[in-house]
Amino acid sequence: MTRTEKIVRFIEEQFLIEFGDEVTPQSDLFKDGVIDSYGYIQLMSFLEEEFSLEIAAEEFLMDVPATLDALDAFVARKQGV
Amino acid sequence: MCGIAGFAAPALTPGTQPAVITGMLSRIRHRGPDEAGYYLDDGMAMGTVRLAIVDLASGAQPMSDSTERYWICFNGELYNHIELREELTALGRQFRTRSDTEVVLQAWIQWGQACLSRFNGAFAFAVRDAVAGDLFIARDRYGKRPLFYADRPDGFLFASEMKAFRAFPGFSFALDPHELKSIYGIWTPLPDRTPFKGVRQLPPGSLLTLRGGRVELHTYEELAVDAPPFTGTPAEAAALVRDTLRTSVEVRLRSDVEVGVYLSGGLDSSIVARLATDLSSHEVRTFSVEFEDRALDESSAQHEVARYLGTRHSSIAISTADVVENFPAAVHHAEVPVFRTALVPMYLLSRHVRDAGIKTILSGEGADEAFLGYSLFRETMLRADWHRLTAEERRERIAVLHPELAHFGPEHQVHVSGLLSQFAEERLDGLFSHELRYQNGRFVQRLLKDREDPFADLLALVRDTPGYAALSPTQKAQWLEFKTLLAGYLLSSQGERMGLAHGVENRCPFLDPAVVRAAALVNLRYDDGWEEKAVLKEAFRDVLPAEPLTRRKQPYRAPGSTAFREHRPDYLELVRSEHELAQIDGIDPRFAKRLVDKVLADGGAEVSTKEDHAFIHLLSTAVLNRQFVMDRGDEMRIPQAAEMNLTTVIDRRHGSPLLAGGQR
Repeated sequence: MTRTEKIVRFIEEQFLIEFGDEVTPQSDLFKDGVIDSYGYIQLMSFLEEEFSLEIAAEEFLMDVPATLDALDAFVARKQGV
Repeated sequence: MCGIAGFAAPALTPGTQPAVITGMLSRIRHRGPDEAGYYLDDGMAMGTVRLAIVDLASGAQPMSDSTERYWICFNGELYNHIELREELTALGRQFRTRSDTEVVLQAWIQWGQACLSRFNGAFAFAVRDAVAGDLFIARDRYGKRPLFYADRPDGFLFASEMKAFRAFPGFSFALDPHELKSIYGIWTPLPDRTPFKGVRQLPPGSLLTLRGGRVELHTYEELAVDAPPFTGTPAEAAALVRDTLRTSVEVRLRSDVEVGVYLSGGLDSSIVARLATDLSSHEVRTFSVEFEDRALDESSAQHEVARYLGTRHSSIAISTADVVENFPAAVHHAEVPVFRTALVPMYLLSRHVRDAGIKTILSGEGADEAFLGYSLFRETMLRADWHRLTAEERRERIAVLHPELAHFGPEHQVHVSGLLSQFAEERLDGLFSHELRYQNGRFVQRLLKDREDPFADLLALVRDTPGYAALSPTQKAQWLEFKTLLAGYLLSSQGERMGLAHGVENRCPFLDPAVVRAAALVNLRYDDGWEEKAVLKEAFRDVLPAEPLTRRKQPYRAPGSTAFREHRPDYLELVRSEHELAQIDGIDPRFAKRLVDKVLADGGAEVSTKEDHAFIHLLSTAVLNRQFVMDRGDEMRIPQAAEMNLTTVIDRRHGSPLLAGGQR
């Protein structure tokens, strides 16, 4: 399973959605009601654990990933891909 | 206390009118089981079911002035009735009873609608001007007492609870998907709305006039949460808070029956109990809920406060099964979809209080709104100041932001910081303070077929409210809490409606206009919002035990959706079957089924807060649909007319002489 597939599967299972017409990889997952504060922290904890990431608070000061594409790119960047 | 109901329907067959008004009253008899009465004239009827608390002997309703031009049906209490009676007497008005109802009527005659701003009370009432043919209905400034109405082609209806409308010929309930969307978004109807098509409620602080068949709605008092900064010393600020609260409790102890106190173990109810014991010549009785689930239980704090104050304390133990079993009955009384089960313990507690022989109770409601007690206010301050704070300051504040939420704990600091940084700018115009919370609503919207904007009506309300735009972010947060959750949920679904289900009246000392004004003066002057309710604590530090002063606020909680997984009552079929779900107008049965399957999964799948809220919203909507729309369910037996204890029947139809039918 690819990195993107793992993230998609986690989001779909945890938040009862399917990426498609309604929620797309470019959808703001907050604005579209997919995740709330608890869900966001669940999601970020999952990414940290699944992909062995270490995230510093300063990384979120300017640009916080809130779409599938942005989350995927964030993980890729952290992994140095 | 009491309940009122009535109609203006000139075309209604004269012979049926007594049965219709009696039928309306019978459906709200739980609000006032002591006696009942109604008034009829050409084209209109109004009545009261009375819970006798002040002037037990001569306070029967409907009540008139000596000319019998004006008639009143009054629900609630006027706490400053003694002072107003003196003022009115000095102006030449004469009284026949000791009741506060007569003071309201005489004040209405003396001052007209200007009387409303003079009232310190919890009330909803109707006044009929039999000469002009006008009807007036009004509601108190904070919305402590409910008043619903339906303006229909065949008549104008009003009542303390919507269920009374069922007795009107041809009336039926239908859920309104547009309102469900708003309720799911902000956890409560807007101040003038209900979940049902064609049924409205009188917003807090407003007056409705029915004149010549036309309805006019008028706001007599806007909520004020801002005030010029208090210029006194911290000690003077604490003294102001202490003195206004003391007076507030003092006038709320005015009663011809014993007054008890709800005791949660927290700061607010402890202050109320402290003042009640100081001001009472007898032992005060306190009441509380104990939970079987120790994670929710606060009984040790309650017992400590009760021991310290020397109250006669009584509690009711509530199991998760009790919550599940009584959920439909509580929803029946609340008449609105709810997002938590917290109304059920209050429903059971009021029954316990009534069984103990108490029918009036003081509670701490309103303190968190007035004195910035919710963590929402701290969160608003933090987000509003986000770009001005250093990383260290942010960390310090996040550490004390939501101590009750594990996912805001220290191990998640980085993610919480990322989360909050996304909400440091306003996205919804005027709703900055609540934007993070409203994300939950967006998830619940998925229960609905239509994706209309859930916040459009609220945005319109704040946009059209004079002075709102000039408030600070914290004051806007306060305004929103007062206008939405306080009146629409806490005072009603957890307070008023649950108390009156068993004929128990609640009185809220923190919701005295002088107390709310004092709070507005001292908030943010002597309380930066980071030490919870700093001024309030300071005001009572030397007269309370350590527990309520030192522990952080515990949100009142009750078992959530997983309770239904454990106990699986028969009525769960309402949301387990796609066929049943398809009966609810506006609900998307496919997503609803998916949510229900996850929440009730046999393996015990993890349920998030938003899923928990969505499930309880869905279940309560389904319960309401069955009870109100499909007219099924047996949560309340409706008394027959013969059981109504009708002590006052005034029939003045067809130009009949005054008091035809007479007082009997």
